[in-house]
Amino acid sequence: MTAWQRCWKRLVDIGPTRHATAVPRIRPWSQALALGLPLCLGLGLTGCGTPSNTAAPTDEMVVKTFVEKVVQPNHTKLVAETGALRAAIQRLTDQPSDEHLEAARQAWRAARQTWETSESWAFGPAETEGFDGALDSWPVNRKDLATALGGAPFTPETFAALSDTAKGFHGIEWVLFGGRTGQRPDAAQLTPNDLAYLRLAADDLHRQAEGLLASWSGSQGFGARISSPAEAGTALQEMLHGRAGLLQEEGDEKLGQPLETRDPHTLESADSGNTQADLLANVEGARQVLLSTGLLELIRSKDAELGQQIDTQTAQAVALAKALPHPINDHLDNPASRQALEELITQLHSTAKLVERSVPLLS
Amino acid sequence: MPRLSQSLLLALLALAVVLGVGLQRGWGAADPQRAAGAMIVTNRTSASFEQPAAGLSPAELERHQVADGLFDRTHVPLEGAAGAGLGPRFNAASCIACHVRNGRGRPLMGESLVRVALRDARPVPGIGHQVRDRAVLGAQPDAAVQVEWQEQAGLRRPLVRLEAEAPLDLSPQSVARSLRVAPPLVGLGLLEAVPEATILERADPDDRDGDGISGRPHWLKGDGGRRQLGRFGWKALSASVQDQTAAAFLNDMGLTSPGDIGARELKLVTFYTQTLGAPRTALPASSPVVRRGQELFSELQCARCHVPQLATARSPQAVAQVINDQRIWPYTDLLLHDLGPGLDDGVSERGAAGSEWRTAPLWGLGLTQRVNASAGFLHDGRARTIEEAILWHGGEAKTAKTRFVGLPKQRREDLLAWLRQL
Repeated sequence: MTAWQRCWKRLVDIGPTRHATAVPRIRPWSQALALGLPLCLGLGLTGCGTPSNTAAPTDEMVVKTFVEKVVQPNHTKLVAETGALRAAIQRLTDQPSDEHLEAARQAWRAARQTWETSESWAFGPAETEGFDGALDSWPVNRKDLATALGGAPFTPETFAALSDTAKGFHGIEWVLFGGRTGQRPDAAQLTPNDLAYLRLAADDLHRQAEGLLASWSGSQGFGARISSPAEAGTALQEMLHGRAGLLQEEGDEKLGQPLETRDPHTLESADSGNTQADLLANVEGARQVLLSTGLLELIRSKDAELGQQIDTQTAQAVALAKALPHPINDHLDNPASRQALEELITQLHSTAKLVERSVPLLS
Repeated sequence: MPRLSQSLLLALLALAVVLGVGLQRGWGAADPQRAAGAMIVTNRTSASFEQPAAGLSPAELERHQVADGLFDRTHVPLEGAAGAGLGPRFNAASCIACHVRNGRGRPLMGESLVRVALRDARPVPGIGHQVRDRAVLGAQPDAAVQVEWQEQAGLRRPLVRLEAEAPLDLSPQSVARSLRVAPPLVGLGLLEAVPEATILERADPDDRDGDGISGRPHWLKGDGGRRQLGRFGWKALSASVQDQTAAAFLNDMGLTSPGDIGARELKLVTFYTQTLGAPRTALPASSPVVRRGQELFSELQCARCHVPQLATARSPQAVAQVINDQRIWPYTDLLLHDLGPGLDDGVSERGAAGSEWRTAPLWGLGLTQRVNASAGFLHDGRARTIEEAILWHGGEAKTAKTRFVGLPKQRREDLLAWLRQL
């Protein structure tokens, strides 16, 4: 929608009160221009772009809010939490104790939740600049990790030789939560190589988070680029496709495959048993973008019923994700749990379809 | 009504139906904005190249979505036998690592690869024709690769350094090297369905018409010595989407069939790429930008190789019905052309010389950097803009490039504006 279209829309929205009989609610463009142009000029163009309590937000406003109130705060938090994880791991390696190990695990869960909340904006630097791969490659490369940590003293060179699949959240998880044995280790069971790896991997994770934040920030950053008037319309579509894509991926890959194979190793975050928290953060992140940026209001302004359906369905997806058995690893054979998983998959697929339906409305 | 009149009426009616269908096909499908015909993708966001084609049946769409999961899968080395799963040597752990969002990758290691050949075109001993620059732990990569850029007159070219632990002579004097970014996965099923005869019609390997443009089919030796027309990849080294897919699994990821990738997975991933569409252009055919751009494209002779319009055949073997009988606008002749010394990196492969490149399709060109802001153009991503890519053209395309350079600034911009909306 162009600025003039928005300007006109605002005029017709207030039309019935000012021109109750003379101005029909929908006008051809010629009439719109004849009436809208002088009025807009008279009111001042900036006034036309200012939202009122009743009007839907503009494309630019939604995208700007998305960048400034959702993405950047999330990535800032991720930087802080990966920093806290690094500090917790430093304490663990300086003074190995079960208390410090548990604190590191909690720090991992906190950072993990923030990252998973951000997965629904699956476009931009996370995908094209390699941050997603460096932070969250999956499945974890068990074979290389076992080889690297089971051999000669672990050095920065050994770490550099590892691929992304042996680093990031899932590499750290594999060591902290006992991926090697399937049992949670005590601090005393962590080897010097485990500790050396954890230090290097936590450093790397933190650096990647900083890089991700930097890529969205500043006047030349990705956030500024997509907030420009020329790009905002496309960015809105990106936001919606990101939502739909994540919901679809969750249904098909994160849940569909484990349900089919009944193999707990096909669950992401299986070693920590954090899968349910991951999924919940994914759907809550998707809903947060809809609610806190004005995106849902914008959809409602085009199609009130569709907006309502998306609102209801995403709320139901959150409720179903909250109610999932925990940890899912132990419930893949349980009929009641399988039914809960299937319900969530169906819900995610139907929500993804609804979100896709909204894309042409905002094109 | 007399019987004759009835028959006449019926015949007229049948003719009208036939004409109607014909006209609808001819007019409805031959719209350059609908570049992929009925397989068009209307989404022009960064997710454009990831969209399934329109026109798939519900069953085909479901198969596409199942295959999407396999295509996205990250591979790891598997416990058990050495070499099981990813590797032992590889370039990337997943298809999407290089085909970033199904578009082009960046010209750096991890998202691209290096092809090599001895100066007499033989494979490099101990390496072959592709440098696997990564390895699972405990194995050695073929060589370490470093890419540096050499700037000259506003253009840049890559300098690729190779270093191997094994005592191999990888000096530039002995070994030619060619950096390759992954091409975008757009409309491959449609290009596969263009009849061989259509491609051969445009071939003129000895330049008999004397226009300076030849165009050579790349004949490959297939199974049992059968001759096959190469059409996929920067040098048309693959005859089919399945061959290209299998080669990528084997060479780029070290996944060997049937141990790591079974026939089912190969077929599914092939199906996934065959059923991706191609984006509609941003502007309709009636737009002045399009009219001006198309005229210039022909006038400069670009369209002699980047052939705007092709048609697919009707085949009972088509993996999706919608691939059949489509008029498409890919801007390629799928032939090899000599593009001159500027793009000659000396790597000769299966009879395609270092300076020979298959005409790159241009559909979706304008979305390249929306899909991946850091992606470049040409086989090694050296061109940072579409204009730079044009300026690198030489050899058979030298006349077209010279004409482009000679245009007034506004006319050059007219051509670029049209290319940017593809």
